[in-house]
Amino acid sequence: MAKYLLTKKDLLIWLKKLQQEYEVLAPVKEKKVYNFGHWDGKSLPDKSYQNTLKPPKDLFFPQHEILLKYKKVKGQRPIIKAADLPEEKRVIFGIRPCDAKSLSLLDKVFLGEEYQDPFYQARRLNTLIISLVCREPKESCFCTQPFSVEGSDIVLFELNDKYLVEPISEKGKNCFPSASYCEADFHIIDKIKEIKINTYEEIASADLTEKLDLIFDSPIWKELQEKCINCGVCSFLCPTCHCFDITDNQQGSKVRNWDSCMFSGFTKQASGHNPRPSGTERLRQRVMHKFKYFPDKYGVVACVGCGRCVEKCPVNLDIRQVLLQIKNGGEKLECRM
Amino acid sequence: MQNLYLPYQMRIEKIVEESPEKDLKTFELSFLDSQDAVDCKYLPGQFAEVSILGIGEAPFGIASAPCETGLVRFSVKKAGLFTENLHQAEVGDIIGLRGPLGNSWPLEKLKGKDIVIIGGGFAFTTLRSMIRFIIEPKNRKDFGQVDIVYGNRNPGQMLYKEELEEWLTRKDLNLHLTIDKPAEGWQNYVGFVPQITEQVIKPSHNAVSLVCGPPIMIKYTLPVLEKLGLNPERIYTSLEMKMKCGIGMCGRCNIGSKYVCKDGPVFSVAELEKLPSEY
Repeated sequence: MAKYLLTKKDLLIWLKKLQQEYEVLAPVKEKKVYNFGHWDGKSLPDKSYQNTLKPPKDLFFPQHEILLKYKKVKGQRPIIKAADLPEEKRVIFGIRPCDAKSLSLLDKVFLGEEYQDPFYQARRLNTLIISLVCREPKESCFCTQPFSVEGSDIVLFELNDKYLVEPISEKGKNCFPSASYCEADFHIIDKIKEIKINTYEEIASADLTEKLDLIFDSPIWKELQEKCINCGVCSFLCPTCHCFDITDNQQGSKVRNWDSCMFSGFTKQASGHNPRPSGTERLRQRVMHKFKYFPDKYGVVACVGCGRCVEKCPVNLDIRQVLLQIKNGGEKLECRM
Repeated sequence: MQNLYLPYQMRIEKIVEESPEKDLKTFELSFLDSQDAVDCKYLPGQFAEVSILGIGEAPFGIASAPCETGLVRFSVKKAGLFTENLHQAEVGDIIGLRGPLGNSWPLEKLKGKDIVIIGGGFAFTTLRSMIRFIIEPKNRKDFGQVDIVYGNRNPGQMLYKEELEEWLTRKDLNLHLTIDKPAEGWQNYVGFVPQITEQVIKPSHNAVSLVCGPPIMIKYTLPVLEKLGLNPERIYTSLEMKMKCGIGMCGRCNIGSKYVCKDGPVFSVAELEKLPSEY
């Protein structure tokens, strides 16, 4: 696909132009961490930007969301209305390729053949994804496709003082005035290869999925969970974890909140029976869901290697080590980092 | 397109107290909007999310049959917060229904077959829907012989007592009712469901079985059915799980890579044998 070379100034002009039509969100530094926020219209992420603390999923699937609003009137039928669909047109600029890919995984869940979540769908349709390829990985990163274009409408590569722009989707092509810029020549495209990206051996490969098939009843889960405190931070910070709860609040709304398979109430039935009664079953569920059940259902693992769970786990339970341990038949191996 | 989470509004037309313990009620609901009755097309074995504003939503198997037009029936045991509230509802109250959801009893695979239906306790609901569907005059020719075993701890706990009385007199089905221990005035079988099944069911070579009941009943009935010559591909059951969305998104009702809400709730025993025993 054609790539175009833009100076930093060109890029700013183009983004400014997009800002006339779209709400442009970009990585914004709050104290020491980055999160997506309103773009100030002038600055671009500097070298200190590696990735946002929170994954972008909440921009499409908010942690708390009103689904329905209702009003009870004594003696009359209640008035129930679906919440208005979000209409704001947005650009997300500077999203990392791993996180852009996570959106294509969430699409499989929320935009299925049979059922489409209307709120998620509206946000996806109204949002343009401009991803920015990493210059170098964080210590906790373990993605295998740093140049992945999946989930991106436009991909940007940073080359010293210039940017290489590659429109991917139709939506991306329509939003990029390619006629105004020069197509990059091969010499420049070759330079991309100089970007310092170490990719790691594929941790979640097909043989892992096969192995997981055999170890459902293995003692490995009990051993692994001894460390886990079931706090759920891994699932909240995971760009692909999508579990939620639906409840009625007392203010006349039916709401959706993020939930986690790490919590005991997640599967506990009214009778008191719980199919996943202890941390062992819950940790197993989380690993199995990402690396066995999701691939069985959708043909792809539900992990993009962003490393947030590795970084933020309060007890240093490293998913890379868990997977290697499973791969190597239960032996505890030090992660290669 | 209607928003996925928007329920149909239903009026409670009738409430039947089903057991002397007063913990089991059947609710007969009608649609407030007549178009909804047309849109809400379901099959025996499917379930729906029933909702009370301000309280929440919970999934229940649909106990009525599609041929009973204009009404939807659920039988609900009082167990948790939602069912406690539903049990306090009165005729005329308006509640919500979202559905139908899930697959159904495997109607295509049941056509032309003899049907063996084994039920226990208040899990008889969607089996009742299936039986009602089969005996509907326009459907009856699609199925062979119908044998039913339905068991409860005591006579008082039998769901749909009046209807069962009528079914006992019918020539187009064989209904075997049983209770665990002898009770005064009880004219039918006494014994646990697996035992009575072994005694009365003589499945033909093409019979298919539908089983629904408490886990302990299922556990001891499946070996009996297999002994009687039904292989796991020809035995179906319906599962329950905690559910929220009912459409395969919220992530809690999975058994292995299957969602009970969307891939189920009906599974063949052969399918279940391939899944982890986490339910």
